[in-house]
Amino acid sequence: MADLDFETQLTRLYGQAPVFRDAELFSQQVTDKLDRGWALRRVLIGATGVVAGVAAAAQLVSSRFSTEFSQMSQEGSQQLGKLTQRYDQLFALGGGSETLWLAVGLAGLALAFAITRLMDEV
Amino acid sequence: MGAERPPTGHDVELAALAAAGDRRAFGELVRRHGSAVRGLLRRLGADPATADDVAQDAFLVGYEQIADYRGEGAFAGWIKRIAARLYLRKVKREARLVLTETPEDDAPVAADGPAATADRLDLDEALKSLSKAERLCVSLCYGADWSHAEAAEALNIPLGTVKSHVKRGLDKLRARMAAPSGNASNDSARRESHG
Repeated sequence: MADLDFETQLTRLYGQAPVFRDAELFSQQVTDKLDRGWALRRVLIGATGVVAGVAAAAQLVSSRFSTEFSQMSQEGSQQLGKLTQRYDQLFALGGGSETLWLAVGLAGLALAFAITRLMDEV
Repeated sequence: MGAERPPTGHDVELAALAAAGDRRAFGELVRRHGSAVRGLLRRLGADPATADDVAQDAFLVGYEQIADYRGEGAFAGWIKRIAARLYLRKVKREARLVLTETPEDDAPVAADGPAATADRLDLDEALKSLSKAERLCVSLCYGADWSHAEAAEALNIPLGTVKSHVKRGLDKLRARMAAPSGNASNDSARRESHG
């Protein structure tokens, strides 16, 4: 020991971790913080999804889609066929009203998911 | 998914698992190295509460950056470097860092005889005999394995100042711990060559 180089000895001493009685508590606190951060991140992602879904649905609803849809029903099946074809091309979906309800449904689903996730985490 | 299994294995394996999103694996790393990080921060001069706060932050930052750790060195060293950096940032932000003072020849070191102090290797006690600057520089270089140049850059002080703080700190520690005063030129040269 007497021959040990002092700096090597010092480095070794620094390498020896002190013993803390609350070491387990410290680890738990870090783990809890990590979990909380992760949960918050997931909630934020969920909330962003909901906002995006709602915005998309609102865009659809506030667009001329609804008026055109009512016009379609008034002007008969001939025009309806044309317009449906147009929207079919636009959304690549089966029908006009289905698109709207699908968007609303998805937004509702996302909202429900976010709420359950939030309740789960909190 | 095996989420309940207790994480075991080498630090590098646990780090790889943590990088893949396994928080339990990272929790095990915290369990293994938490005390070392807390100890280092206290040795750098942080009070216990600050040391624990910074240590927690260091692990959180470590988790965010875990993909950067590829096992080139010990995980303990890697996380200690993060902790030291965070601590320095904190003390600098709080303007509590005054390191450019000229060395006082105060703090007389009790140069006990080797026989009387042969068993007194309490580093933490010995560190109390160092000035704040000496303690910080010595602990950065020997506890966090920073080179003198790295310490100078992080502390924003001249390299020569760091070297003199380290030298005086070592002299005091050597006397305090009554270690053989054999030179340690090899290790010193290694650190200086980093710069």
